[in-house]
Amino acid sequence: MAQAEAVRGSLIGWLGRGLIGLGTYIVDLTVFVLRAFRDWARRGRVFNRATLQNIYGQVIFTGLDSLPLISFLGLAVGLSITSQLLKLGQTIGGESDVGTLLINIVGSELSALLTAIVLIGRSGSAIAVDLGNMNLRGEVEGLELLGINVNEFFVTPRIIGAAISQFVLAVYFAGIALFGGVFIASLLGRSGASLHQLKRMAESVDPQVIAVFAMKNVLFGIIIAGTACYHGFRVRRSPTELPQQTQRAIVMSLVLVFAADGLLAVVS
Amino acid sequence: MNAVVPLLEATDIRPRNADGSSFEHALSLEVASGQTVCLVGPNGGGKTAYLRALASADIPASGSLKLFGRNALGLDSLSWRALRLKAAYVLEGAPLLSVVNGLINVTLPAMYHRLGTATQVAAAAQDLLKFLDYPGRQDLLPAYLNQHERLLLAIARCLMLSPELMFLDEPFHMTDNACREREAVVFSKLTGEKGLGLLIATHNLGFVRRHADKIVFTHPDWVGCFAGWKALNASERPEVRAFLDSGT
Repeated sequence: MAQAEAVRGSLIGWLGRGLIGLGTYIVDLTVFVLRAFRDWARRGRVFNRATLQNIYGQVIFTGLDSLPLISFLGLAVGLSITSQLLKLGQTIGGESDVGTLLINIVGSELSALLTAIVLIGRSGSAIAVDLGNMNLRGEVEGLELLGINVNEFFVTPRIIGAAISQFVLAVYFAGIALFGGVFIASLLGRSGASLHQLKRMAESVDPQVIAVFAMKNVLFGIIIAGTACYHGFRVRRSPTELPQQTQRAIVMSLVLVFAADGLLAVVS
Repeated sequence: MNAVVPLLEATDIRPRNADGSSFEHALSLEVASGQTVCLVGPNGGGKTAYLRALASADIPASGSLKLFGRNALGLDSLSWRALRLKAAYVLEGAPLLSVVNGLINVTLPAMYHRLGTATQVAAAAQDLLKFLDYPGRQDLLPAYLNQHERLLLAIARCLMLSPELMFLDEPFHMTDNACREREAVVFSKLTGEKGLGLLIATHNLGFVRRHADKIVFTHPDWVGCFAGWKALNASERPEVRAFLDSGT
Protein backbone atom coordinates (compact mmCIF):
# COMPACT_ATOMS: atom_id res chain seq x y z
CA MET A 1 0.00 0.00 0.00
CA ALA A 2 2.74 2.38 1.02
CA GLN A 3 4.74 1.27 -2.01
CA ALA A 4 1.81 2.03 -4.32
CA GLU A 5 1.48 5.46 -2.71
CA ALA A 6 5.17 6.11 -3.27
CA VAL A 7 4.95 5.05 -6.92
CA ARG A 8 1.92 7.30 -7.44
CA GLY A 9 3.73 10.16 -5.70
CA SER A 10 6.84 9.82 -7.83
CA LEU A 11 4.71 9.53 -10.97
CA ILE A 12 2.87 12.73 -10.13
CA GLY A 13 6.22 14.36 -9.32
CA TRP A 14 7.67 13.24 -12.65
CA LEU A 15 4.62 14.51 -14.50
CA GLY A 16 4.72 17.82 -12.63
CA ARG A 17 8.41 18.32 -13.35
CA GLY A 18 7.81 17.51 -17.01
CA LEU A 19 4.97 20.00 -17.27
CA ILE A 20 6.92 22.73 -15.50
CA GLY A 21 9.89 22.00 -17.80
CA LEU A 22 7.68 22.21 -20.88
CA GLY A 23 6.06 25.42 -19.65
CA THR A 24 9.45 27.03 -18.98
CA TYR A 25 10.66 25.88 -22.38
CA ILE A 26 7.66 27.42 -24.14
CA VAL A 27 8.14 30.72 -22.30
CA ASP A 28 11.87 30.72 -23.19
CA LEU A 29 11.15 29.95 -26.81
CA THR A 30 8.43 32.59 -27.04
CA VAL A 31 10.73 35.23 -25.56
CA PHE A 32 13.47 34.17 -27.99
CA VAL A 33 11.15 34.56 -31.00
CA LEU A 34 9.65 37.84 -29.77
CA ARG A 35 13.13 39.30 -29.16
CA ALA A 36 14.14 38.31 -32.67
CA PHE A 37 11.15 40.14 -34.13
CA ARG A 38 11.69 43.13 -31.85
CA ASP A 39 15.31 43.45 -33.03
CA TRP A 40 14.18 43.10 -36.62
CA ALA A 41 11.48 45.75 -36.31
CA ARG A 42 13.73 48.13 -34.34
CA ARG A 43 15.87 49.15 -37.28
CA GLY A 44 13.19 51.12 -39.09
CA ARG A 45 13.34 49.70 -42.59
CA VAL A 46 12.66 46.12 -41.64
CA PHE A 47 13.67 44.59 -44.95
CA ASN A 48 17.41 45.12 -44.98
CA ARG A 49 19.18 43.99 -48.18
CA ALA A 50 21.43 41.59 -46.31
CA THR A 51 18.59 40.02 -44.31
CA LEU A 52 16.30 39.94 -47.33
CA GLN A 53 18.79 37.64 -49.04
CA ASN A 54 18.46 35.30 -46.06
CA ILE A 55 14.65 35.30 -46.38
CA TYR A 56 14.89 34.46 -50.10
CA GLY A 57 17.38 31.72 -49.31
CA GLN A 58 15.11 30.25 -46.66
CA VAL A 59 12.03 30.34 -48.92
CA ILE A 60 14.00 28.64 -51.70
CA PHE A 61 15.41 25.96 -49.43
CA THR A 62 12.32 25.37 -47.34
CA GLY A 63 9.68 26.04 -49.97
CA LEU A 64 10.84 25.40 -53.51
CA ASP A 65 13.17 22.52 -52.71
CA SER A 66 10.37 20.74 -50.82
CA LEU A 67 7.94 20.86 -53.75
CA PRO A 68 8.73 17.39 -55.21
CA LEU A 69 8.30 15.70 -51.82
CA ILE A 70 5.14 17.66 -51.02
CA SER A 71 3.73 16.81 -54.46
CA PHE A 72 4.37 13.14 -53.89
CA LEU A 73 2.85 13.15 -50.41
CA GLY A 74 -0.14 15.16 -51.63
CA LEU A 75 -0.83 12.67 -54.38
CA ALA A 76 -0.38 9.76 -51.98
CA VAL A 77 -2.88 11.28 -49.55
CA GLY A 78 -5.23 12.04 -52.44
CA LEU A 79 -4.98 8.47 -53.61
CA SER A 80 -5.45 6.89 -50.21
CA ILE A 81 -7.54 9.18 -48.01
CA THR A 82 -9.47 11.44 -50.39
CA SER A 83 -10.54 8.66 -52.70
CA GLN A 84 -11.37 6.41 -49.74
CA LEU A 85 -13.54 9.10 -48.15
CA LEU A 86 -15.35 9.62 -51.45
CA LYS A 87 -15.99 5.90 -51.66
CA LEU A 88 -17.16 5.82 -48.05
CA GLY A 89 -19.53 8.72 -48.68
CA GLN A 90 -21.02 6.88 -51.60
CA THR A 91 -21.39 3.65 -49.63
CA ILE A 92 -23.03 5.08 -46.53
CA GLY A 93 -25.00 7.61 -48.51
CA GLY A 94 -23.72 10.74 -46.84
CA GLU A 95 -22.31 12.27 -49.99
CA SER A 96 -23.44 15.76 -49.07
CA ASP A 97 -21.20 15.71 -45.99
CA VAL A 98 -18.17 14.28 -47.75
CA GLY A 99 -17.19 17.68 -49.13
CA THR A 100 -17.12 19.18 -45.64
CA LEU A 101 -15.28 16.15 -44.32
CA LEU A 102 -12.62 16.38 -47.01
CA ILE A 103 -12.08 20.08 -46.45
CA ASN A 104 -11.78 19.64 -42.69
CA ILE A 105 -9.68 16.49 -42.59
CA VAL A 106 -7.55 16.60 -45.72
CA GLY A 107 -7.61 20.29 -46.56
CA SER A 108 -7.30 21.77 -43.12
CA GLU A 109 -5.69 19.15 -40.87
CA LEU A 110 -3.63 16.68 -42.88
CA SER A 111 -2.16 19.20 -45.28
CA ALA A 112 -0.93 21.43 -42.45
CA LEU A 113 0.37 18.59 -40.29
CA LEU A 114 2.09 16.60 -43.04
CA THR A 115 3.67 19.73 -44.50
CA ALA A 116 4.90 20.66 -41.03
CA ILE A 117 6.39 17.19 -40.54
CA VAL A 118 8.24 17.48 -43.86
CA LEU A 119 9.52 20.93 -42.92
CA ILE A 120 10.64 19.78 -39.48
CA GLY A 121 12.58 16.92 -41.05
CA ARG A 122 14.10 18.97 -43.83
CA SER A 123 14.40 22.57 -42.74
CA GLY A 124 14.18 22.42 -38.95
CA SER A 125 17.08 20.01 -38.70
CA ALA A 126 19.07 21.89 -41.35
CA ILE A 127 18.61 25.24 -39.58
CA ALA A 128 19.69 23.79 -36.23
CA VAL A 129 22.79 22.13 -37.73
CA ASP A 130 23.63 25.22 -39.78
CA LEU A 131 23.43 27.67 -36.88
CA GLY A 132 25.06 25.22 -34.48
CA ASN A 133 28.04 24.80 -36.78
CA MET A 134 28.33 28.55 -37.33
CA ASN A 135 28.28 29.09 -33.59
CA LEU A 136 30.94 26.43 -33.03
CA ARG A 137 33.28 27.92 -35.64
CA GLY A 138 32.92 31.47 -34.30
CA GLU A 139 31.16 32.71 -37.45
CA VAL A 140 28.23 34.10 -35.49
CA GLU A 141 30.42 35.94 -33.00
CA GLY A 142 32.57 37.25 -35.86
CA LEU A 143 29.49 38.94 -37.30
CA GLU A 144 28.29 40.16 -33.91
CA LEU A 145 31.63 41.88 -33.45
CA LEU A 146 30.97 43.73 -36.69
CA GLY A 147 27.82 45.22 -35.18
CA ILE A 148 25.48 42.75 -36.86
CA ASN A 149 22.49 41.76 -34.78
CA VAL A 150 22.33 37.99 -35.08
CA ASN A 151 18.65 37.90 -34.21
CA GLU A 152 17.88 40.18 -37.10
CA PHE A 153 20.35 38.55 -39.47
CA PHE A 154 19.90 34.86 -38.70
CA VAL A 155 16.69 34.25 -36.77
CA THR A 156 13.96 36.49 -38.17
CA PRO A 157 14.65 35.74 -41.86
CA ARG A 158 14.53 32.03 -41.14
CA ILE A 159 11.26 32.35 -39.24
CA ILE A 160 9.65 34.52 -41.93
CA GLY A 161 10.92 32.24 -44.70
CA ALA A 162 9.67 29.12 -42.93
CA ALA A 163 6.25 30.66 -42.17
CA ILE A 164 5.75 31.71 -45.80
CA SER A 165 6.93 28.32 -47.05
CA GLN A 166 4.76 26.38 -44.60
CA PHE A 167 1.64 28.32 -45.63
CA VAL A 168 2.26 28.09 -49.39
CA LEU A 169 3.27 24.44 -49.25
CA ALA A 170 0.22 23.53 -47.15
CA VAL A 171 -2.08 25.23 -49.69
CA TYR A 172 -0.29 23.38 -52.47
CA PHE A 173 -0.50 20.10 -50.54
CA ALA A 174 -4.24 20.57 -49.94
CA GLY A 175 -4.80 21.33 -53.61
CA ILE A 176 -2.90 18.29 -54.80
CA ALA A 177 -4.46 15.98 -52.19
CA LEU A 178 -8.05 17.12 -52.84
CA PHE A 179 -8.05 17.67 -56.59
CA GLY A 180 -5.63 14.83 -57.19
CA GLY A 181 -7.76 12.52 -55.03
CA VAL A 182 -10.98 13.37 -56.83
CA PHE A 183 -9.26 13.07 -60.19
CA ILE A 184 -7.69 9.70 -59.38
CA ALA A 185 -10.94 8.40 -57.91
CA SER A 186 -12.83 9.42 -61.04
CA LEU A 187 -10.15 7.76 -63.17
CA LEU A 188 -10.64 4.59 -61.15
CA GLY A 189 -14.31 4.78 -61.99
CA ARG A 190 -15.69 5.62 -58.57
CA SER A 191 -18.96 7.29 -59.30
CA GLY A 192 -18.90 9.43 -56.14
CA ALA A 193 -15.95 11.29 -57.52
CA SER A 194 -16.83 13.98 -59.98
CA LEU A 195 -16.58 17.67 -60.64
CA HIS A 196 -19.80 17.88 -58.64
CA GLN A 197 -17.81 16.74 -55.63
CA LEU A 198 -15.27 19.50 -56.16
CA LYS A 199 -18.11 22.01 -56.21
CA ARG A 200 -19.37 20.68 -52.89
CA MET A 201 -15.90 21.01 -51.42
CA ALA A 202 -15.65 24.59 -52.60
CA GLU A 203 -19.01 25.35 -51.00
CA SER A 204 -17.79 23.91 -47.67
CA VAL A 205 -14.98 26.42 -47.42
CA ASP A 206 -15.96 29.40 -45.31
CA PRO A 207 -13.83 32.41 -44.31
CA GLN A 208 -13.33 31.08 -40.78
CA VAL A 209 -11.82 27.84 -42.12
CA ILE A 210 -9.48 29.86 -44.33
CA ALA A 211 -8.48 32.17 -41.46
CA VAL A 212 -7.78 29.27 -39.08
CA PHE A 213 -5.86 27.45 -41.82
CA ALA A 214 -3.69 30.50 -42.53
CA MET A 215 -3.09 31.21 -38.84
CA LYS A 216 -2.27 27.60 -38.12
CA ASN A 217 0.29 27.32 -40.90
CA VAL A 218 2.00 30.59 -40.09
CA LEU A 219 2.18 29.47 -36.45
CA PHE A 220 3.64 26.11 -37.50
CA GLY A 221 6.30 27.88 -39.58
CA ILE A 222 7.21 30.11 -36.64
CA ILE A 223 7.40 27.10 -34.31
CA ILE A 224 9.57 25.06 -36.69
CA ALA A 225 12.13 27.76 -37.50
CA GLY A 226 12.01 29.36 -34.04
CA THR A 227 12.68 26.05 -32.31
CA ALA A 228 15.48 25.19 -34.75
CA CYS A 229 17.19 28.58 -34.28
CA TYR A 230 16.75 28.40 -30.51
CA HIS A 231 18.49 25.02 -30.33
CA GLY A 232 21.07 25.93 -32.99
CA PHE A 233 22.23 28.83 -30.83
CA ARG A 234 22.46 26.57 -27.79
CA VAL A 235 25.45 24.80 -29.35
CA ARG A 236 28.34 26.48 -27.58
CA ARG A 237 31.75 24.84 -27.50
CA SER A 238 31.66 21.14 -28.21
CA PRO A 239 30.71 19.44 -31.49
CA THR A 240 28.95 16.78 -29.41
CA GLU A 241 26.29 19.37 -28.58
CA LEU A 242 25.31 19.62 -32.23
CA PRO A 243 23.48 16.29 -32.66
CA GLN A 244 21.94 16.68 -29.19
CA GLN A 245 20.49 20.08 -29.96
CA THR A 246 19.37 19.04 -33.45
CA GLN A 247 17.51 16.07 -32.05
CA ARG A 248 15.90 18.29 -29.39
CA ALA A 249 14.89 20.80 -32.06
CA ILE A 250 13.15 18.08 -34.07
CA VAL A 251 11.38 16.48 -31.11
CA MET A 252 10.26 19.77 -29.60
CA SER A 253 9.03 21.05 -32.97
CA LEU A 254 6.90 17.94 -33.37
CA VAL A 255 5.53 18.23 -29.85
CA LEU A 256 4.72 21.92 -30.22
CA VAL A 257 3.21 21.61 -33.70
CA PHE A 258 0.86 18.82 -32.61
CA ALA A 259 0.03 20.63 -29.37
CA ALA A 260 -0.72 23.86 -31.28
CA ASP A 261 -2.84 21.96 -33.78
CA GLY A 262 -4.86 20.36 -31.01
CA LEU A 263 -5.26 23.66 -29.23
CA LEU A 264 -6.42 25.44 -32.37
CA ALA A 265 -8.88 22.63 -33.10
CA VAL A 266 -10.40 23.10 -29.65
CA VAL A 267 -10.47 26.90 -29.82
CA SER A 268 -11.77 27.31 -33.40
CA MET B 1 44.99 73.90 -28.26
CA ASN B 2 43.06 70.65 -28.51
CA ALA B 3 44.68 67.65 -26.88
CA VAL B 4 44.64 64.55 -29.07
CA VAL B 5 42.17 62.06 -27.59
CA PRO B 6 43.60 58.53 -27.48
CA LEU B 7 41.64 55.91 -29.40
CA LEU B 8 41.71 53.67 -26.38
CA GLU B 9 42.16 54.55 -22.75
CA ALA B 10 41.98 51.66 -20.29
CA THR B 11 42.47 52.10 -16.57
CA ASP B 12 42.97 49.16 -14.22
CA ILE B 13 41.12 46.74 -16.48
CA ARG B 14 40.65 43.27 -15.02
CA PRO B 15 38.95 40.76 -17.34
CA ARG B 16 36.70 38.03 -16.09
CA ASN B 17 37.58 34.36 -15.96
CA ALA B 18 35.21 31.83 -17.49
CA ASP B 19 33.73 31.23 -14.03
CA GLY B 20 32.96 34.94 -13.64
CA SER B 21 35.76 35.67 -11.17
CA SER B 22 38.14 38.57 -11.76
CA PHE B 23 41.69 38.36 -13.13
CA GLU B 24 44.20 39.17 -10.44
CA HIS B 25 46.24 41.77 -12.31
CA ALA B 26 44.98 45.04 -13.69
CA LEU B 27 46.11 46.61 -16.93
CA SER B 28 46.21 50.29 -17.86
CA LEU B 29 46.89 51.26 -21.44
CA GLU B 30 46.55 54.07 -23.97
CA VAL B 31 46.52 53.55 -27.71
CA ALA B 32 46.85 56.39 -30.20
CA SER B 33 46.09 56.55 -33.88
CA GLY B 34 48.72 54.74 -36.01
CA GLN B 35 50.13 52.77 -33.07
CA THR B 36 50.69 49.03 -32.99
CA VAL B 37 50.26 47.45 -29.58
CA CYS B 38 51.11 43.77 -29.18
CA LEU B 39 49.92 41.51 -26.39
CA VAL B 40 52.42 38.76 -25.74
CA GLY B 41 52.97 36.13 -23.09
CA PRO B 42 52.82 32.42 -22.49
CA ASN B 43 49.75 30.35 -23.23
CA GLY B 44 47.19 30.74 -20.47
CA GLY B 45 48.52 34.18 -19.58
CA GLY B 46 45.29 35.88 -20.63
CA LYS B 47 46.20 37.60 -23.91
CA THR B 48 42.80 36.93 -25.43
CA ALA B 49 40.95 37.83 -22.24
CA TYR B 50 42.72 41.22 -21.99
CA LEU B 51 42.28 41.84 -25.72
CA ARG B 52 38.55 41.13 -25.52
CA ALA B 53 38.17 43.32 -22.45
CA LEU B 54 40.07 46.18 -24.13
CA ALA B 55 37.84 45.83 -27.20
CA SER B 56 34.70 45.87 -25.05
CA ALA B 57 33.90 42.49 -26.60
CA ASP B 58 33.56 41.18 -23.04
CA ILE B 59 32.60 43.17 -20.00
CA PRO B 60 35.59 43.30 -17.64
CA ALA B 61 35.24 42.55 -13.93
CA SER B 62 36.59 45.98 -13.00
CA GLY B 63 38.28 49.06 -14.37
CA SER B 64 37.28 51.73 -16.82
CA LEU B 65 37.53 51.78 -20.59
CA LYS B 66 37.18 54.68 -22.96
CA LEU B 67 37.11 54.12 -26.70
CA PHE B 68 37.34 57.24 -28.89
CA GLY B 69 37.02 59.37 -25.76
CA ARG B 70 33.75 57.81 -24.61
CA ASN B 71 32.91 55.27 -21.97
CA ALA B 72 32.78 51.87 -23.64
CA LEU B 73 31.45 49.82 -20.74
CA GLY B 74 27.84 49.24 -19.77
CA LEU B 75 26.54 50.30 -23.17
CA ASP B 76 23.07 49.31 -24.33
CA SER B 77 22.94 46.90 -27.25
CA LEU B 78 22.38 49.60 -29.91
CA SER B 79 25.30 51.73 -28.72
CA TRP B 80 27.50 48.64 -28.44
CA ARG B 81 26.71 47.66 -32.03
CA ALA B 82 27.40 51.22 -33.20
CA LEU B 83 30.75 51.07 -31.40
CA ARG B 84 31.66 47.89 -33.30
CA LEU B 85 31.81 49.83 -36.56
CA LYS B 86 34.69 51.89 -35.20
CA ALA B 87 36.39 49.19 -33.14
CA ALA B 88 36.77 46.12 -35.36
CA TYR B 89 37.67 42.72 -33.95
CA VAL B 90 39.10 39.76 -35.85
CA LEU B 91 38.73 36.53 -33.89
CA GLU B 92 41.41 33.84 -33.75
CA GLY B 93 41.32 31.80 -36.95
CA ALA B 94 39.53 34.69 -38.72
CA PRO B 95 36.23 32.85 -39.06
CA LEU B 96 34.16 33.95 -42.06
CA LEU B 97 30.56 33.14 -42.82
CA SER B 98 30.91 29.69 -44.38
CA VAL B 99 27.76 29.75 -46.49
CA VAL B 100 28.70 32.70 -48.72
CA ASN B 101 31.73 33.32 -50.89
CA GLY B 102 34.72 35.50 -50.11
CA LEU B 103 33.44 38.65 -51.80
CA ILE B 104 30.02 38.49 -50.15
CA ASN B 105 31.76 38.01 -46.81
CA VAL B 106 33.56 41.29 -47.41
CA THR B 107 30.52 43.24 -48.61
CA LEU B 108 27.98 41.78 -46.17
CA PRO B 109 28.65 43.97 -43.09
CA ALA B 110 28.60 47.12 -45.21
CA MET B 111 25.36 46.03 -46.86
CA TYR B 112 23.87 45.25 -43.48
CA HIS B 113 24.81 48.67 -42.13
CA ARG B 114 23.56 50.31 -45.35
CA LEU B 115 26.81 52.05 -46.10
CA GLY B 116 26.09 52.40 -49.80
CA THR B 117 24.38 50.88 -52.80
CA ALA B 118 25.32 47.36 -53.86
CA THR B 119 27.52 48.77 -56.64
CA GLN B 120 29.28 51.22 -54.34
CA VAL B 121 29.89 48.56 -51.71
CA ALA B 122 31.22 46.09 -54.30
CA ALA B 123 33.56 48.74 -55.71
CA ALA B 124 34.83 49.62 -52.23
CA ALA B 125 35.42 45.93 -51.54
CA GLN B 126 37.50 45.57 -54.71
CA ASP B 127 39.58 48.61 -53.76
CA LEU B 128 40.23 47.17 -50.32
CA LEU B 129 41.18 43.75 -51.64
CA LYS B 130 43.66 45.47 -53.95
CA PHE B 131 45.00 47.52 -51.04
CA LEU B 132 45.51 44.31 -49.04
CA ASP B 133 47.11 42.50 -52.02
CA TYR B 134 44.56 39.75 -51.67
CA PRO B 135 45.94 36.87 -53.73
CA GLY B 136 43.00 34.43 -53.67
CA ARG B 137 39.75 33.96 -55.52
CA GLN B 138 36.75 35.95 -54.35
CA ASP B 139 34.11 33.59 -55.66
CA LEU B 140 35.07 30.64 -53.48
CA LEU B 141 33.56 29.66 -50.17
CA PRO B 142 35.88 30.26 -47.20
CA ALA B 143 36.38 26.49 -46.80
CA TYR B 144 38.31 26.48 -50.10
CA LEU B 145 40.64 29.32 -49.11
CA ASN B 146 43.85 29.10 -47.12
CA GLN B 147 44.29 30.74 -43.72
CA HIS B 148 46.21 33.72 -45.13
CA GLU B 149 43.41 34.43 -47.61
CA ARG B 150 40.75 34.07 -44.94
CA LEU B 151 42.60 36.50 -42.69
CA LEU B 152 42.84 39.09 -45.44
CA LEU B 153 39.13 38.75 -46.18
CA ALA B 154 38.32 39.08 -42.48
CA ILE B 155 40.43 42.25 -42.31
CA ALA B 156 38.81 43.56 -45.48
CA ARG B 157 35.29 43.11 -44.15
CA CYS B 158 36.28 45.03 -41.03
CA LEU B 159 37.83 47.80 -43.12
CA MET B 160 34.58 48.12 -45.09
CA LEU B 161 33.15 49.72 -41.95
CA SER B 162 36.00 52.29 -41.77
CA PRO B 163 37.14 51.47 -38.23
CA GLU B 164 39.68 53.50 -36.30
CA LEU B 165 40.83 50.67 -34.07
CA MET B 166 41.37 47.03 -34.95
CA PHE B 167 41.82 44.16 -32.54
CA LEU B 168 43.32 40.95 -33.88
CA ASP B 169 43.57 37.72 -31.94
CA GLU B 170 46.45 35.53 -33.14
CA PRO B 171 46.37 36.74 -36.76
CA PHE B 172 49.53 34.78 -37.62
CA HIS B 173 47.83 31.57 -36.56
CA MET B 174 48.58 28.68 -38.93
CA THR B 175 50.37 30.67 -41.61
CA ASP B 176 53.90 30.07 -42.93
CA ASN B 177 56.78 32.56 -42.75
CA ALA B 178 56.17 34.02 -46.21
CA CYS B 179 52.53 34.70 -45.38
CA ARG B 180 53.52 36.16 -42.00
CA GLU B 181 55.78 38.59 -43.78
CA ARG B 182 52.95 39.62 -46.12
CA GLU B 183 50.62 40.00 -43.15
CA ALA B 184 53.18 42.16 -41.35
CA VAL B 185 53.30 44.40 -44.43
CA VAL B 186 49.50 44.65 -44.36
CA PHE B 187 49.51 45.68 -40.69
CA SER B 188 52.16 48.33 -41.42
CA LYS B 189 49.96 49.71 -44.19
CA LEU B 190 46.95 49.76 -41.87
CA THR B 191 48.76 51.87 -39.30
CA GLY B 192 50.86 53.89 -41.73
CA GLU B 193 48.43 54.63 -44.57
CA LYS B 194 45.06 54.31 -42.87
CA GLY B 195 46.14 55.54 -39.44
CA LEU B 196 44.45 52.70 -37.57
CA GLY B 197 45.36 51.77 -34.03
CA LEU B 198 46.16 48.05 -33.93
CA LEU B 199 46.04 45.74 -30.93
CA ILE B 200 47.38 42.31 -31.74
CA ALA B 201 47.57 39.28 -29.47
CA THR B 202 50.34 37.14 -30.88
CA HIS B 203 53.12 34.63 -30.39
CA ASN B 204 55.00 36.02 -33.38
CA LEU B 205 57.86 37.72 -31.55
CA GLY B 206 59.62 38.58 -34.81
CA PHE B 207 56.71 40.83 -35.70
CA VAL B 208 56.54 42.23 -32.18
CA ARG B 209 60.25 43.07 -32.23
CA ARG B 210 60.02 44.98 -35.51
CA HIS B 211 56.61 46.63 -35.33
CA ALA B 212 55.29 47.02 -31.79
CA ASP B 213 55.12 50.56 -30.44
CA LYS B 214 53.92 49.19 -27.13
CA ILE B 215 53.96 45.68 -25.71
CA VAL B 216 51.56 44.32 -23.13
CA PHE B 217 53.01 41.29 -21.38
CA THR B 218 50.40 39.03 -19.80
CA HIS B 219 51.26 36.22 -17.43
CA PRO B 220 49.16 34.49 -14.75
CA ASP B 221 51.46 36.05 -12.11
CA TRP B 222 52.04 39.48 -13.60
CA VAL B 223 50.81 41.90 -16.24
CA GLY B 224 52.74 44.90 -17.49
CA CYS B 225 53.15 47.35 -20.32
CA PHE B 226 56.42 48.15 -22.12
CA ALA B 227 57.36 50.93 -24.51
CA GLY B 228 58.55 48.63 -27.29
CA TRP B 229 60.80 45.63 -27.73
CA LYS B 230 63.93 47.16 -26.15
CA ALA B 231 62.09 47.84 -22.92
CA LEU B 232 60.62 44.33 -22.84
CA ASN B 233 63.99 42.78 -23.55
CA ALA B 234 65.64 44.82 -20.82
CA SER B 235 63.07 43.80 -18.23
CA GLU B 236 64.35 41.91 -15.22
CA ARG B 237 60.91 40.51 -14.32
CA PRO B 238 61.34 36.75 -13.88
CA GLU B 239 58.12 36.06 -15.83
CA VAL B 240 59.35 38.10 -18.78
CA ARG B 241 62.80 36.59 -18.67
CA ALA B 242 61.40 33.05 -18.51
CA PHE B 243 59.13 33.80 -21.46
CA LEU B 244 61.84 35.35 -23.62
CA ASP B 245 64.41 32.72 -22.69
CA SER B 246 61.99 29.95 -23.60
CA GLY B 247 62.31 31.20 -27.21
CA THR B 248 58.54 31.13 -27.81
